[in-house]
Amino acid sequence: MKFYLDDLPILFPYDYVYPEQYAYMRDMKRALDGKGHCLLEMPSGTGKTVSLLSLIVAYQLHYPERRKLIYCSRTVPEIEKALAELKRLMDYRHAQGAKEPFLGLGLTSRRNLCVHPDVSREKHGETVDARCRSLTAPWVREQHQQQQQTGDQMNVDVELCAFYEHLENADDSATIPSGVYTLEDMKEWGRENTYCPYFLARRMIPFANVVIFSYHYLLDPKIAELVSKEMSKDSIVVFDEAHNIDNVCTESLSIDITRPMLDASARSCRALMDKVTELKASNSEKLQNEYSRLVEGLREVQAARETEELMANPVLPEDILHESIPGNIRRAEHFVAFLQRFVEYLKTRMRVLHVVSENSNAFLQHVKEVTFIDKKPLRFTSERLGSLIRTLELSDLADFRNLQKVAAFATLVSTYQKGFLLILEPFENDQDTIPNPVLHFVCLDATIAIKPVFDRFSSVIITSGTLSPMELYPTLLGFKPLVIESYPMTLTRNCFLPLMVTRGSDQVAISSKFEVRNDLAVVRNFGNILLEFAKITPDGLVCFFPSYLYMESIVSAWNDIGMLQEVLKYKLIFIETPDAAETSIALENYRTACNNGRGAVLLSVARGKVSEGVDFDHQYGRAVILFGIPYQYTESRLLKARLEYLRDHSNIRENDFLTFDAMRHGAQCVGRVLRGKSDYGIMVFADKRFARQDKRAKLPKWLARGVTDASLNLSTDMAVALSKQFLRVMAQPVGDAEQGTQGGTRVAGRHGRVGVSLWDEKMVADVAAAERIQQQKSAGVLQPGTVGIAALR
Amino acid sequence: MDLLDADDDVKKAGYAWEDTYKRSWDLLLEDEAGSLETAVDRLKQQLKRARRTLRFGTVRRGIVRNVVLVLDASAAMAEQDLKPNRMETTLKLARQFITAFFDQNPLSHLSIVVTRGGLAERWTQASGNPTDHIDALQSKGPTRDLYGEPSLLNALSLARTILAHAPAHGTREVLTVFGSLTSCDPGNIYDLIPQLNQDRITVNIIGLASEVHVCKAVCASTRGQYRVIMNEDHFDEIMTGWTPPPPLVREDGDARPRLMEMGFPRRRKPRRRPVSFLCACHPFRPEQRGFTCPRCLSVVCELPTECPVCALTLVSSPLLARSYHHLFPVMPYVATNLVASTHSALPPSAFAATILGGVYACPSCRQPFCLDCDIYVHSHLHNCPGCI
Repeated sequence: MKFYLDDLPILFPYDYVYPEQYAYMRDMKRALDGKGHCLLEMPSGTGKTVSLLSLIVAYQLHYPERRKLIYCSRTVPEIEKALAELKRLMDYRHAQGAKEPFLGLGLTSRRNLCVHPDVSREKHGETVDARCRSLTAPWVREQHQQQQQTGDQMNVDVELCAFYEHLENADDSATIPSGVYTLEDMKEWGRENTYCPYFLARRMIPFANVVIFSYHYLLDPKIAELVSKEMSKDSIVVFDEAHNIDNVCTESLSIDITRPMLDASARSCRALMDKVTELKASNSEKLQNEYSRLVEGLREVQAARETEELMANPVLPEDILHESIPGNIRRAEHFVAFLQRFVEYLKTRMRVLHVVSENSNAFLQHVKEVTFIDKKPLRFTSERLGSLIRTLELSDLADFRNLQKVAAFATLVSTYQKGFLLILEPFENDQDTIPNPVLHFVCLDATIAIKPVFDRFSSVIITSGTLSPMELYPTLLGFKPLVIESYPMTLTRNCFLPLMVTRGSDQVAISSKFEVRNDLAVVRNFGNILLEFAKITPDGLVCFFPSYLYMESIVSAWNDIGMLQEVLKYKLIFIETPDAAETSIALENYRTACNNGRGAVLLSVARGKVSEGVDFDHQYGRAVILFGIPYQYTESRLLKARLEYLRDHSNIRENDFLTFDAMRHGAQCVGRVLRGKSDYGIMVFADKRFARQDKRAKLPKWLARGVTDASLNLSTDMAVALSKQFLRVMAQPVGDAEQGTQGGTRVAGRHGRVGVSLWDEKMVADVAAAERIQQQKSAGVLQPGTVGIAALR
Repeated sequence: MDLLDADDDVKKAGYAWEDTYKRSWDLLLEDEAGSLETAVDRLKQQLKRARRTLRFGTVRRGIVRNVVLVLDASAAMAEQDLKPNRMETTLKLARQFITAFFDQNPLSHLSIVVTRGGLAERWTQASGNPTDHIDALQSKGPTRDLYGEPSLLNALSLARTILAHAPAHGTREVLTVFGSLTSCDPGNIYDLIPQLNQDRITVNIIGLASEVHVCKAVCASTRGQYRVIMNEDHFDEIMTGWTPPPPLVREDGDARPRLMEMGFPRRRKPRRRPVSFLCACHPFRPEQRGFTCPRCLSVVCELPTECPVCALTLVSSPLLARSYHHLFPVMPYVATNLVASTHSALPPSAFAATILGGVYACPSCRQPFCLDCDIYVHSHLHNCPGCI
């Protein structure tokens, strides 16, 4: 269908548009017009991605500025999905006669894009990176060329990647025709034309209209500098599934250092030293060249490298010193000795058997006292190490990974003082007696990493299914949004049933509060909830616990009182573990059990892998039970430090942040079962604290709308009775009450939904006209011509 | 519902604490006009029920049906959300269904399969005699001993072997009542679906609790229907919906009617003194009543059946006539704007047993009917009394 938002024609690849999609696009356009940031919450399964892409593509192609779209998503499957959606949209636009040159690309790691026959068979990302580098590094190629020039073809033992060579030799002529390329298309095209898809994608980014990649390409300074520096200022940046963005920001600047890492670093230092001596004996000219280059300054060095993202500076671009490297680390052997000293210093710090928490300044002071290492050379550690590795022509960087981390740590700790904290924890648990020290260098302030993004780009759109409470995000991320909006889901039947179960059938209040969580009554009542819902729920049932620790303890308690055996009569039980491979096997079997009618329960953790990336649509999740509020582990020192920082600097009370964090994870978990309008599911919140206003107010709007007063304070049996009825109603066939979906099922039973949850072209036009009139009234005067830009609400 | 079923409720009501949690105030709702919506809804439902059984136009129907009725006898059937429990309700409705089924489809065969404890067993042999099945349902059989989990795969495999011998001109249907939410199968049920399709078997399932994916998948891929009941009335309604013969769809798109050889046997003349004799179908059971096959002159004891000697289909003409009405259904009556408050408002020839509700008229003879008569004509009589 085609409709107009003000003067902007939008081609939407479906016959109908949901009202919330229309509102979403309208508000996003407002933000784009005003060149401001916006924060939009829209329930999952309502076609968020497609409306976002339709609007922005229409916007790009209609207005002469051609603002580039940078779309960031979390995982590779999500990137794939977005690319597929974009491809569909562009196909539709072409079918509608809109012929325009357009390039859409996805960028991901080498592992997903490599087409080299041997290298692509490697499983681990790091191995692929290392092997790729050993085939494509400039000095390797140089060596190859030299060997070829010397003429003895027989002795060419340096291998190169044919795909990369072809791309390099093709110079500027290596471009891909316009169109949208999914990752698989890109590989296919690379294979056919013997171009390396990874490097081709990177090369094409400046020319693409839409680029889709992971958050890290923008947020992690190590990568962002290389990939994203050429993006123009008026690009539109979208962060999808962004409810966790503050954590991604802090994590991108945090580093953990352990004992084994330091040992490996020390070994690497020795290896470096050997190399340096060796090189000095054979070819001291190279080292001399490097030295003189370092005297001249850093920038020139930086310009020389293009493919070497591993040595990138971990510091944000504007914090990099534009000076030359200090004298005491210019010579290679001096620098290695310097590194050794620093590593040894860290080792001694690790021997301490009590918890240390200090800020960067205190740490630097101590470093200076003990080892006479100054702050300034420390800041250059990362750069200097990169330069040394290049000079030594080391291509197998896997061995130096740990040393690089230590160097990155040195650079970060000496660059940033505010918003960072060093915490040394000698023991993993408080009860442990064998020390396993970890030095955490934590970033407490999410604004630091994301600030350059907000500063550089005029429109940043942050969107997700669960962003409530939305007032907190601007403070956490330090920006001023032009539009903040949350959209409800228009439904012609209520396809989800939120139930706040506050007490068991015996009327004992249930809660995962620390003091009562191990009470037998609470454990038994939690078990009863599981049992009762296992009895009445068809196919899949997903449960979330606040932590692995609590899950383990409660599951063993259930085992002791025979609860698990009871549940096993009705359904199979699968448990998520911290091991990714184990969990994926469990998930696979869980899905099989849901498919063939055996039915299964999946016990998982609210912050685990399952709660974030895995969808439980249709039969895979007919009900989800949230046992307790998924608060973070509040005794964690890192969390305490962050809370303290937020209280002091952002005026966010500890409790507010904790509840906010718990509820967004809770909403994320329960949202897993509802992946579209044709889907349905029960959402059980089992904790008496959920009934409180402060918790409920932090649920997303679309979810909160489904919470009626009647479902606020239920006992188990009441919840079960409501659920039974709900399941029967939902099982009634298509056509009687089915929702409109934009996919294949929408043909049946369309009547009754059109106008409610589906709008066709005419209705959209009517609504737009009504809005215009409304807004003219509120503006007081009729000013033709200015109508389009002013706010619509 | 409460108002109208008050009498029944008194009889059925168990102890209060056995009842599930009910929010009784939700059952009776007044709308803006102050009327009782639920009561109105019930009338609407009645109307819908009457209309449901009507299928418009002429459709090819398979009036010779081969049906396997699969009953779940797992522990889940002991649930008491239907009173007195799911199994008893199912048995009651199954008896009604079998009576109605043979009434409307006299040329058909039916067999009952029961599944529990992960196994499936054949309870009654395929036969066209309703009393066999009804007796079985009333007797103390596996349906009184509920345990374990049902196995959809085993039940369908068994049904498949039963239906494998059914003649090609009839339909092959599996009608399943499934109370459990799980199915305990020895293999992959999705491997069975192509085989079912190959044998032209249609699987229909009634779920008693909620929608189970595997049932939905099996029904969808065998062109059957999967329904989940809301309550007992709804259960009854769906089960009754199975009685009229289903429209016949052939995959090969062959629309020509197929001719079928049939014999109309003559009843053996009753002697003055009853004499027992042996029939060809039950060699060890003395019979007093018999029919002679017109082709081979062997004696069979009941109709309809297949002659055990010459394999001719034996029917009686009244049975055939009874099946006939499905092919030419009574036209649906149209609602008139006449509102009957008393009998005097209607012409004296009107067919009106009660005077509540609207008045409906036959489109061809223009005779007025009340709602109850409308339902009766369409569900039982199959002839319009006005037109005759």
